[in-house]
Amino acid sequence: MLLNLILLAVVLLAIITSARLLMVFQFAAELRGKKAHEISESENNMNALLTLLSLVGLFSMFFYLTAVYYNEKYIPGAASEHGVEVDSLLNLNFYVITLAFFITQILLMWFAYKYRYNKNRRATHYAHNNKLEMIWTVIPAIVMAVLVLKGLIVWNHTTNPDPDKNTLNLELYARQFDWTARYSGKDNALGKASYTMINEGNILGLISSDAIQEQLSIVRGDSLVTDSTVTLGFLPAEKLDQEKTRLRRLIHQIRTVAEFEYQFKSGTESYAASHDDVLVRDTIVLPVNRPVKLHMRAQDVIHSAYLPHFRVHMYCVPGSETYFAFKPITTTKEMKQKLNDPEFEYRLYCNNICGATHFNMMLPVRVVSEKEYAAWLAAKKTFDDETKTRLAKMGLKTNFANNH
Amino acid sequence: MSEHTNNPAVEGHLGHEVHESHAVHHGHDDHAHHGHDDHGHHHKETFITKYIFSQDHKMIAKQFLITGMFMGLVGMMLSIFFRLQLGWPGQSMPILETFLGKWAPDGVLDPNFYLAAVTIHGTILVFMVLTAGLSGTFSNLLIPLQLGARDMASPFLNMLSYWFFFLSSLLMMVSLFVETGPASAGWTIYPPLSALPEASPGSGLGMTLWLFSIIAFIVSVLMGGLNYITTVMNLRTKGMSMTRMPLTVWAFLITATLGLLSFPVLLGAGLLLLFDRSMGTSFYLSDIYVSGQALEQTGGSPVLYQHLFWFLGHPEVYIILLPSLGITSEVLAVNARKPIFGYRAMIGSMLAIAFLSFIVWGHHMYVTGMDPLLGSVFTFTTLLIAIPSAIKAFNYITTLWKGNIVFTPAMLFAIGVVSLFITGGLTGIILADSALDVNLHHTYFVVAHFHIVMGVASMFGTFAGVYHWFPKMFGRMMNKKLGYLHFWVTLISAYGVFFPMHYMGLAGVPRRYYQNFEFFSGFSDLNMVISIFAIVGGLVQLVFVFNFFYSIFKGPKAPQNPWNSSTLEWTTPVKHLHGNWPGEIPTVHRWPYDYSLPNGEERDFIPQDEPLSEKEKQAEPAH
Repeated sequence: MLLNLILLAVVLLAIITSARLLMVFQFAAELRGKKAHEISESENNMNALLTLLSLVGLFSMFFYLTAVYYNEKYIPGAASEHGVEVDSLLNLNFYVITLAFFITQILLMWFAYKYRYNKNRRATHYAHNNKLEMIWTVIPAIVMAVLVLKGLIVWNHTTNPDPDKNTLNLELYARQFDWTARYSGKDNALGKASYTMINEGNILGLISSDAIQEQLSIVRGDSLVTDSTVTLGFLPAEKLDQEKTRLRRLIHQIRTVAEFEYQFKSGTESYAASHDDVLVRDTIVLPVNRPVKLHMRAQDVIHSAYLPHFRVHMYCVPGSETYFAFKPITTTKEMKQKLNDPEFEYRLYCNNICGATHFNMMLPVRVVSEKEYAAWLAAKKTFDDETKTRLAKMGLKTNFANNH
Repeated sequence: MSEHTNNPAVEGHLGHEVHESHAVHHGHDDHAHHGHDDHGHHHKETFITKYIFSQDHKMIAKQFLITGMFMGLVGMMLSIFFRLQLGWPGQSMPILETFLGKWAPDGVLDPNFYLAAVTIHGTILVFMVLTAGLSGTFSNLLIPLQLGARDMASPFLNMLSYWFFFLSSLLMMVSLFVETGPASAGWTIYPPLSALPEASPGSGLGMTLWLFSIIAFIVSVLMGGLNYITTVMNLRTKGMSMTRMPLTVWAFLITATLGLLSFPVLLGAGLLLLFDRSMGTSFYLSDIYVSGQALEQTGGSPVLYQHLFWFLGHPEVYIILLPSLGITSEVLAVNARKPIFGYRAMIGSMLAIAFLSFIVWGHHMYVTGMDPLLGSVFTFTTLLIAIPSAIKAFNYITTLWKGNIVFTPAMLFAIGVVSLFITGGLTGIILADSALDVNLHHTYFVVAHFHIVMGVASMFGTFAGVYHWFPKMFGRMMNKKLGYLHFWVTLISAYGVFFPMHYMGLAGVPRRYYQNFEFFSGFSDLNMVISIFAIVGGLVQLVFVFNFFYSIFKGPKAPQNPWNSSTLEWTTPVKHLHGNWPGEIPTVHRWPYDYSLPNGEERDFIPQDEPLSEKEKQAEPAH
């Protein structure tokens, strides 16, 4: 507290001293007959020179930063098929804008320096020149036309890759603050999911006959905990509101899950595609040179799946599914050798603000050969296995599937 | 309320003016507490009506400026807080605890408050400083003065516009002190994060206050904008045709139009968000499971919010930038002692930019899952903006060519605007391209781009305006040496902070990260350097603040026309009076850029209100 007071006093003193000093300078200048609004020749020349120097500073910074940070070490070349195209488009754009940057900044600063005030000279009254203006309308227009065209070609390739039967369907599921990857298993189809099916064991809310049974038992059990007017009557008003909201939501949830049960029992839906799905929460493993179609979902708020090395980025939006297809072309091993960095890992980041530990929401990605991938996947438990284990723990039968 | 009594008097002025543009106003005198007795109202200007509930556009301009400056300092301090964390992650900084208390336990910024700081910094700078502080100040000051009007079309609405802005700033400040912390979903407050208090503590009361603050802000912008447009359309003095208006006024007119057309959409977006937050609607919410409960809301779309937000958000970029470019045009011409090059092309390109700004919002949303075809369309429209922007840049450069340049602090800042506008604009070409934006979206490349082209460039435009029109606002001169110091240190630190960020972005460092991973450890030195530049750049703003307030009271007295400028505002007396001109309103005979005409005169400018000479009449009467 005392320290703060002293600090405050020092600041105040500094302000008062500067004000006094400034008044003295001002008075001295007045005595010498200088007018406050007139810029002296020396001041003018100095600022003109500094303007020219700032050009040197700007370009030195550009060259230094480009030399140090614009290279493989910091920006490894794209590890995906479309990424290579993106990189070459980026390079083309960089040539164009760097050229424009140099030309315009040089002209600007050079003119500012060269045409600094001289009392013996008069500025040239030069108000317009249609031909000149036409030139700098048409040239940027042509350059832009080329860039737009090139850009759209790459964009089309990125968003409409050639169809490939071999494409791996993979779901990226985001929630505060972690990722889950879901492999589509042998059938290469992702099973259906609903947010009302989410519970501690089934964080993606996948639907299968066993999962429906599990969820019904959980939510129906939940509703009984405080579901009596006696209990509610003793709650303070604020708590009561919360409890009412919770029950309303629970009823909505039970209805939805019961609908899934009905769909299943009536035979309309088999919900079987999810059985062989594999959920992974520590590392995403991708086979090299095989197209991957990412299906993205989110549980709570908008997240964004960002895989910078593959030039892949797509929001994960609650309530809808988004997609991004790409083909990894460099394995992690190859990348480690190329960058001479044994620690190198591809990574998946969350790149849309999603709450307190947004910055910590990431998952390593490993690109391996098809064989390694198959071996890795085979060792994983399927969703069905996991659900059955949970049901057994809860003491529920797992033959719900046979009921109809 | 006493200010009502003032109102008929002012309307009286304007009533005359509309019919006969050179209405005579007796009874105005130079004394501080003058009255309007000539209109038969017994009214004395008290402290309250003169300085607080003032209806004089010049005073309102100053109110906007000083409030904007205060908010700017708050926004800047927040940025320094988070730069401390980014430059020296996890290190204890006692200063943080002094200022933030429980938000920085042991001097280390709390991750939630980090996001809050980022959010409020953005909100304050975008809305309070670069919209209200810039447009509010200079539209108010310059529109009537440069057009030859006694005041705004509706001084009362103008006063309300300021007070709604004040209310908005106040609410934003209050939100910094609530228990659960201020809004922390980023300045774009994308739902569902901003809609669910369960998802983030900042989405509780802090977000409610944020929304109310912005609603008040929108009201302020709309009242101001209506006024600016009406004034420009109706209250130009005799001879002031649209093509004789200074480019500043053109910029303010276009800006006000943009605001009037786009801010209501943000109001809609904000109201729907309020409904979702408190009334159980599902405009933006669908299929959400949060804190162990499945919400009932289904069928909404969070992406709908983004469409609505960016429908304002993109024009907003130009609402911020255009006034700054307008000021730059004026300051460059005056100090290069040359007409602005390509006056009509400048107007045309501003109109083109304004029009295009309404059909490019989707370029903020290439990776939201939007149809790729839409992405192509938005890429095309966005890259079109490069053309009018290039015209403006080249016209600025040509304005300097063969000029006779006086380096006032304002001139330096104006040249800085052009440099920054080019640097930041060029990287926009990359971000506009959907194929390239995929990998750069939400990285530091974006942070670098928009801070340079919109943030710093517009801030420089504001500074140029303050240094240039300070003598008009306060009748005194600012200290130019401190101005030079302010400019050079600010320029160096602005480039020092934002230029390196391009490289981090290219390497894929995401923005809004509380700290960077080991993967980005190569950038820890760079992060530190950026933070040092930010702190230096922050400190030197204090020199400006000191210079500003010192000069208001103790600066040397200003002459009537310190920069030998030809526009009308310099024909008013140094001492302010309500109504601007003591006698008749001047009549305009020429365009605003008659500098250095080859007419053999020693004087290198001709004021707009000077009749054409015989020679000029014979040669070519109309510009």
